[in-house]
Amino acid sequence: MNQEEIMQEKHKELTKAAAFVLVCLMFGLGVQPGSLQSGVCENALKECLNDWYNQAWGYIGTVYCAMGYAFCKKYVDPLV
Amino acid sequence: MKEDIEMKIGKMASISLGVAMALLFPLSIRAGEKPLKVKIQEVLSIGALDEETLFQWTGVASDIEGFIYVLDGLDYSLKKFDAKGRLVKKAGGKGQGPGEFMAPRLLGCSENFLYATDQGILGISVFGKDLRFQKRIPFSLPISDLFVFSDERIAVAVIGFQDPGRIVVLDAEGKVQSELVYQKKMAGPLMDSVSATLDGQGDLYLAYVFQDKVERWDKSGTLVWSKDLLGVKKVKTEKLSGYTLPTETCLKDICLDHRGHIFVLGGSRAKNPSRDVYVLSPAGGLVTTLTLPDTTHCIYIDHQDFLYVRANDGITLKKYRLIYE
Repeated sequence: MNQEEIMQEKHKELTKAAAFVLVCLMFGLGVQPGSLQSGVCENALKECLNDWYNQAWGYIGTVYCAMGYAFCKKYVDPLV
Repeated sequence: MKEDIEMKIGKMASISLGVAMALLFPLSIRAGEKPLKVKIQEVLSIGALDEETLFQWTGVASDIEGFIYVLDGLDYSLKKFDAKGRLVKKAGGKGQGPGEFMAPRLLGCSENFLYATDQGILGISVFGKDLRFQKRIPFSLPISDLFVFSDERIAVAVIGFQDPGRIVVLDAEGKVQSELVYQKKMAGPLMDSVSATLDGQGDLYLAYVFQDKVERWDKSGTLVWSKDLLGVKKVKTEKLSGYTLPTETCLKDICLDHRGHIFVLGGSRAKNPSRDVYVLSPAGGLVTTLTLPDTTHCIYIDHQDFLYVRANDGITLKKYRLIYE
C-alpha cells in the first residue's frame, strides 16, 4: 500500500465512522459499532421506531423517526 | 416522366434530410431551448481531512457581503466564514436551549437574519449575522426544506408522512400567511417529501426526494408544469416496522440561478448518484447535465451565482463559479 492508498483508506474509515455517528445522532440512538453496512438508514429507522422513548411520543415519535430516515437517505446514502 | 421521377427523388431527399436533421438536432434545441453547457471552476474550499474546521456540515447560506454561514451537525454549531474561507465566529452547542442544537439541518438567510432548523427541536431558530441568537419562530410540524424570502416571510416544506405534503409561508412570528397543498392524494409515507425553492416572482419549484418529479407552481397555486428527469416509474420500497417506505432517492435538492435556470441534484437513481445536477430552463426543458466531482446532499447557489456543494462526505464545503458556455 502506498501513501496515497493509506490516506484514501483512512479517509474511508473516517467518513464511515462520522456517518455512523451522524446516523446515531439523528435517530437519538446509542453507538453500536459494526452496523454501518448496507441499509444503514433502514436499520436506524427500525431501531428508532422500536425505541421506547419514541414510541411513548406516538405519532410525533414516528414522524421524528421518519424525518431522520429521510435525512439519512439524502445525507448518508451516497457514503454506504 | 423523367421530371416526375426527379421530383419524387427531390421530395424524398428533402424528407430524408428533414428526418436526419430532426434526429441529429440536440434535444434541447428541439424543445426550443438554447444549447448551453455549464462548467464549474473551484474558487474556495473550506475544511479538509486534516483540519478541524468542519466535521459534517448540513446546511449552508451566504449573504450579500460574501460571508458564508454553515451548520455543522457533529459539533452542534453555526459557523461564519469570510469570503476567503476564514472562520470568523462560531456559535451553538449541544442542547435545546436558546441558540443550541440537537441535530442542525437547514439554513436560510435574509437581509438581517439567519434561520436554522433542527430535527430535534421544533420551530425555526433565528440568529443575527453576528450569530447571536434572537428568537425561535414557533412551528409545530417537522420541516423538510426552508426558503427565506425576507425578514418577514419564510417558506417551509412540511414533511409528508400520513398527511399530504405542503408548503407553508410564515411571517416573522410564525403566523401562517399562505399554504399550498401540492399533493392532493397521499402517495404513501414520505413519498411527497420535497426540496423547494422560489423565484423572484413567487413561483414555487419542487423536487421530489422519493419520486422522479420536478414541478413548477405559480404563486396563485396552479401547477405550471411537471417533469420527470430520470425515467424512474417507481422507486423501490421496503416494509419497515409496519410502514412501506421508499428506499431509493430520486431528486435530492433544487435551487435557481439568476438567469432563471433550475438546478436539480439527482439522488441514488441518477446515473452518477448524488453528483449529477440537471439544469432546466424556466419552461422545464432539460438544458444540460453537470456532474460534480464529489457526492453531495445539497446544492446552494448564492446571489452571485456561485454554487456551494459538499465534498469529503461533509468535511469540506466547496464553492464553485458557474461558467455558462
